[in-house]
Amino acid sequence: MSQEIDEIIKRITSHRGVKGAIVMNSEGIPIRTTLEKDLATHYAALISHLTHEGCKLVNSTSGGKDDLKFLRIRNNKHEIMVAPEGKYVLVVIQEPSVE
Amino acid sequence: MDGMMSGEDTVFAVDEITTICKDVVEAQLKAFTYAHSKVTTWTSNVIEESLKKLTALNKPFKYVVSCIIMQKNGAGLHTACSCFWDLGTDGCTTVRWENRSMYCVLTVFGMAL
Amino acid sequence: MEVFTKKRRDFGAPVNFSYTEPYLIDSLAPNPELHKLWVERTHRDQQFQTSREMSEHEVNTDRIETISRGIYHKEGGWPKEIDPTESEHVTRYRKKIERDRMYAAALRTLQTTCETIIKQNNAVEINEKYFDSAEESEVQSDESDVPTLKSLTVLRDPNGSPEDHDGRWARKVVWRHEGAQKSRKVAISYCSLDFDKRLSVDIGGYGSHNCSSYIWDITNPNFPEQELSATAPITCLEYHTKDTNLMLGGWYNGMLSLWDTRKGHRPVDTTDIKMSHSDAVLDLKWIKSKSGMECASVGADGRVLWWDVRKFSSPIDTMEVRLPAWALAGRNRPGAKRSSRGSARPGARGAAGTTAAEEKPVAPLLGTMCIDYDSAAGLNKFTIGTETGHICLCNSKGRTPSERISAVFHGQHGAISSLYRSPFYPKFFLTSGDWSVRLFHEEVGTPILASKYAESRVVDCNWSPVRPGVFASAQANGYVDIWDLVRRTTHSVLSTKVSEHALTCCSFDHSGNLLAVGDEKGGLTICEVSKSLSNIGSNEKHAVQSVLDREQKREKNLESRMKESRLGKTTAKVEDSVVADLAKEEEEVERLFLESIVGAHGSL
Repeated sequence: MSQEIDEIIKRITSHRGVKGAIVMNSEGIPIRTTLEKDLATHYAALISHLTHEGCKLVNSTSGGKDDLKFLRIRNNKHEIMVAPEGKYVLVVIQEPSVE
Repeated sequence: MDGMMSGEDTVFAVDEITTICKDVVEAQLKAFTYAHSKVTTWTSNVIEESLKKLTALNKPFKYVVSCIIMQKNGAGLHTACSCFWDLGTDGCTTVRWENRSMYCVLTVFGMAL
Repeated sequence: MEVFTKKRRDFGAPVNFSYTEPYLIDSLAPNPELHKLWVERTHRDQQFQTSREMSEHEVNTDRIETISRGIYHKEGGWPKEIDPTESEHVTRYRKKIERDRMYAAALRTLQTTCETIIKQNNAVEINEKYFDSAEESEVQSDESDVPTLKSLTVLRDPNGSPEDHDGRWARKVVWRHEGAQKSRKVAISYCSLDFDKRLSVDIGGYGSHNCSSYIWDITNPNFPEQELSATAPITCLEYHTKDTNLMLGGWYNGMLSLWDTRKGHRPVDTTDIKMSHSDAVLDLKWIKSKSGMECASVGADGRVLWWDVRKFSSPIDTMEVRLPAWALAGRNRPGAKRSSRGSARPGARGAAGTTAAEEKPVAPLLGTMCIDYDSAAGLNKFTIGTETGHICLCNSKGRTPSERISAVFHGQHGAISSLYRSPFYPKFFLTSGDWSVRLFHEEVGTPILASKYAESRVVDCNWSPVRPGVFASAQANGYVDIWDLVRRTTHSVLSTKVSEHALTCCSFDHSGNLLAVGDEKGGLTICEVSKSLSNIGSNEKHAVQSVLDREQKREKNLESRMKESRLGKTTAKVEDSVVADLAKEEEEVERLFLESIVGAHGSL
């Protein structure tokens, strides 16, 4: 099973411009990452908060019938993609302008 | 007749009331020169003050007070009145006061109850 | 059928009414005399207005001092029983999660969604900005026309009472240079120089006064970043030109001191009071030298002292500021016929030799307000401004005092409050004093540009370090003027009231974006100048150079014309007659003028 997970992560990071990926649980603990430990912890801690808030927003506006599926954060350099699913969150950091 | 109280109390005391009225007019108007916009206030002040003083006498009387304030511009004035009342008890008195710019004529009628 | 009965006595007293004769209340006879006095008023003045009445109120919010604090929470969210610092625990926990079937399933679904987005991002840049360059240039052209000054923050003397803002003078302000970036640190020397306070200081000593000055971070206006403590009020400060940790300060009692901001608020070293200035130090500058540790100071006692800051026990050199004999005689420089400085120097030697006897009556010492040193203008050359309004161009190489002063100009009508060489054209310098700002060239005795007299005293001026033609001047009525020689030379391009109180100093930061303006109540306003005043134009340096050269030539020509006409008076008769004609004409005009005045007075 862990092989399969390795496979998935590898596939994602092999795309052009992808800087790294983090898999974390809803508590904000990075479970698997391709980034440095400190940086991953930092990202995980901050993004878990944001994801939580985002979930709250979607839930409350839809009356609890909907869930947050995806969050894209675009800054000058990177795009941070946040995809929550159940108890787990996948975070991908991409530098899209790389040709 | 219990209603017919005779004596000092029931007679309109002309002298006393005249002094009261004079004092009132003097106090209210002495400091002023005639100004049209102020006259309304002055007349009501004079009337109110004098009525206050008259009622303070505690006599069984109804009072009618009338006040005339006239600018001194050389015009003549003639005013008179006539009453149908009890000559024994009722009476009236008039105070004429003047300064450089105006006349004030204050008339008080008193009717015994 | 009802019957009512009522006793007679209940009806009350019987009435006994009768008619009275008409009673004359009052009768006033008409009074014709009074009536004559009666005047009908034909006109009547009455004012009214149709607009709504309004009133103006001004409200300023209270200053609230805030402190930002933060907590860095590094790692968290772990279950209770797991210690995140133990790597074994952590890996075991991770493994446990990875074995979860849900985990793999979740990841599989997430993979597809993420991949779609990643591919999309790589295929097309959806957030691409178009017309980037166009927008920018538009903004620039919009701004370039209106010079503005926006006040960002106010730093107040922490020792003044906050209610009435009554602090000490912010006498001098210096920015710490941080390369091309906007400077963030600014040092202010707080020192009251008004007469009554000065008197009380003189009598009571400095004991009751707090003599500290402060370094501020302009992003935090609530508290100063660092204190610079002293035992006498600090009149001026100067950052070391290279090492911004070193700060040189001059004191009110004539001493100098050096702080190292890394070593706390106490001065690292101070000069010996016996060897120092005998009156307040008014200005100081670092001097370019091999060690980089030399400085020069000037004071109200009329001396220039050179110091090595590593050896503060005695000055390296001293110089007394006295006007040389040729200056007292009204000439600008020794051997007045020579105009260029290069040829003036040997002339100066000769003059010193021959006029030694003349120099016997010693000219008085002149209190010195300011000194400017720019290594670009010459390593040994420096310029000083005196309390009497003289500007002395000096050379520290000379051996006798009279050799050291190579030229004297009449700068201003009063004390020269500040003097700065242009950072772009070292031969030109700017002075402020009385009610005007003046621009000099060091070879021309008269100002090549002089501002009109302002409404109030001009207390300081400062060149923009990035724009060759821009400088600021501060006035005692609270206004700051900004001049731009590229736009116009006759008026300032901008005049803004910065403070309610009299200003004391102004200074551009090293990026030219910020202007610090100090006032007499201890306030220092940091203003941001608009882009148009801080961005240099394409060939601006050249344009300003040409303006300055033109004015300099004009002034030079005028000077030589004056000389010629003076010479001409004695030699050429033709010219004489012209002059005489002119004089006659002048007299005539004056006579007419006087007559008109007398006439006016007569009619009065």
